[in-house]
Amino acid sequence: MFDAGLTLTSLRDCLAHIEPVQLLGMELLKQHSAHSQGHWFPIDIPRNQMVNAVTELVDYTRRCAYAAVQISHLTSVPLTSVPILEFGL
Amino acid sequence: MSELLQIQQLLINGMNSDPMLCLANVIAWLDPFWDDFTDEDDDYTGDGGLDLALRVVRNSFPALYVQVIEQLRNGYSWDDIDRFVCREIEILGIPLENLEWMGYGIPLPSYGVRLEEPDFYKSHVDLIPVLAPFGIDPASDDDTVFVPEYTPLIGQYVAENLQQHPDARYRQLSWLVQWLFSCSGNSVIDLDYEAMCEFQPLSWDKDDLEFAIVIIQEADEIMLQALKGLAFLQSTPEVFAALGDNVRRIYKVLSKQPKENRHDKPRVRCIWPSLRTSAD
Repeated sequence: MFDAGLTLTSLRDCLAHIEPVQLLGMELLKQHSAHSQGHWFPIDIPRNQMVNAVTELVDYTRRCAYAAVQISHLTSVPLTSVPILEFGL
Repeated sequence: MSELLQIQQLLINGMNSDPMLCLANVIAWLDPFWDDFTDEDDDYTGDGGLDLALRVVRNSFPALYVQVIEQLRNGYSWDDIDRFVCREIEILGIPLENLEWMGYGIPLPSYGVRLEEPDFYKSHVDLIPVLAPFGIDPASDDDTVFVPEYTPLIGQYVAENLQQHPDARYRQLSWLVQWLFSCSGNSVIDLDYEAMCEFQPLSWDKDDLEFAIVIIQEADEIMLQALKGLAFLQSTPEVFAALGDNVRRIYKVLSKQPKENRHDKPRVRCIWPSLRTSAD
């Protein structure tokens, strides 16, 4: 990865520019919050929309958990060019 | 709008404009149990059936999960949730009396018949004449009803023969015979309760659940066809007589075969009367 010219900084910038995921539940929350005065969460949303939102959210959670597990299994990469001052202590 | 509501709206708008906070809000709203069930490999261990029930409805019944969350938020008790989830799952055909049973896997109904069991005939008096041509007579006071050795084989042969018949009514009759002689290939139809208990139950995983629902729906359809087949048999004496004749013919051929070959399927041509259809 780093041989291809990608530095830690550019990797961080690249990740930082990824658009936030747009889930149906987030859209519903934004659209209906203004019409649900006195309630913290939106009310009176059609059941099928709620089901679609929950299905997508559960699936998204599952994919995130899977990705986290996969990342935790990556082989560590020695960063020889990055000075870690604390190491000297 | 009161000042308090304005402040609340301000807070909500602020949270919703930040993707991370908005996502957290959505999870608290739609999937508050997400953290309990993120580990797929977790065993179904918890403080009772409700823990497993929530996991199952979350993974496999999103429409149910939405309603459970709504009910919990509206102050329903766990007992209410228990009854609600059981009722909804029973609508799918899965006999779930109590959520505590969920830990044992998917309970399947068992429509299977034990022809040796005298109680069967007490609750199915209308089947006694149907089984009589096969040599089964439950009239004696014995603890078990005698079923001749080759009767299941004959029943299977008759069922297979009827299944090939072009008239749908005969195929319905075939389902009746398949149910009575446990040869439909559907476990719910072929296994009685005790036999079903011998098998490892299906898990509540999505694939197993879909499989279970397919089996149950197929079994219900088979039973529906079998009941139509019974009505057909009871209403057409010539078919009833043909059933007896064919069984006798098969038995005669079987009895002529050497004993070691009697478990092979007999080569007999069954004869069924041609009937007028309603279209005729």
